[in-house]
Amino acid sequence: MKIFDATLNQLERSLDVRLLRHNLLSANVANSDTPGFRPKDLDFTAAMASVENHTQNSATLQAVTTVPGQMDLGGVPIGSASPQDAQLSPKDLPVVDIPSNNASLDGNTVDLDRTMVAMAENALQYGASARAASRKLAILKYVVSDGN
Amino acid sequence: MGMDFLTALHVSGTALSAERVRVNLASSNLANAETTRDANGNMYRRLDPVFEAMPLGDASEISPNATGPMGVRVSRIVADSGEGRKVYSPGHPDADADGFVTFPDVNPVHEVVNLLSASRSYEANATALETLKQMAARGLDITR
Repeated sequence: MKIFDATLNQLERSLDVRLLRHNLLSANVANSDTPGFRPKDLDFTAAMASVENHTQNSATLQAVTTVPGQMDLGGVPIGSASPQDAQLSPKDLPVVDIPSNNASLDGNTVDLDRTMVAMAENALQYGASARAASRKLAILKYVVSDGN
Repeated sequence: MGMDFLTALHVSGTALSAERVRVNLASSNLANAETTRDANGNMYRRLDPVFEAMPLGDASEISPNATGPMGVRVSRIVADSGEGRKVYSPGHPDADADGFVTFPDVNPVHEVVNLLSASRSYEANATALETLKQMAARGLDITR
């Protein structure tokens, strides 16, 4: 069993995805007066799945043998893992145009109220993930200090 | 990951600056509603900013249909091309040969509505920044 289990990884991913979503939503607010601007959002569930695939394919630190006679733990040296530690960028994630049928005269379809609500909700969820991660670490801290 | 707190900071920052330009221009138009000449002796023309979505990040991420967060910038400032409104006032130093003075095509109601709208947009962006600050604080709290 690993000390840093899947839960902590999931929480870390969710923080990343929430932050990207905030970036997109604040871009929508920033462009609420830009003619012809189409607002964008992120499908959170799909984004989590896509980030999961991404991290599974990227390199992680592994125990490798450097001298003959060391115990082989089956690790792959960094650099030979493929594809190694590719950078995740917004274009890898399911960014979608927010559909709207009430464009203003200049073709802008940003709904400021909806966007602000989505932003507040997203920040709350970010806080929830952050707090859960904090709790998770607090439990580990409790364990490594013999329950003190 | 190419997505960080500085991106949203930058996005909202560009918007605050663009909305401020809009407020400045609307104020300028209001202030000059009764102006009969500019520094060169020409008619004052009302000014309007044109906003444009601006892709952020490095050059490789910039494409016409970029999916990433976009900032905003004032792409240009357009001057009104109207004729102005003529008011008969023969005694005025800027009156033409027929006694008409030309005032700019500034509609105070239009400018005030524009001011209010810019101010609300500014507030929305300031709120987005505030939300980002809260998120950053929550993130830092993980290590506490």
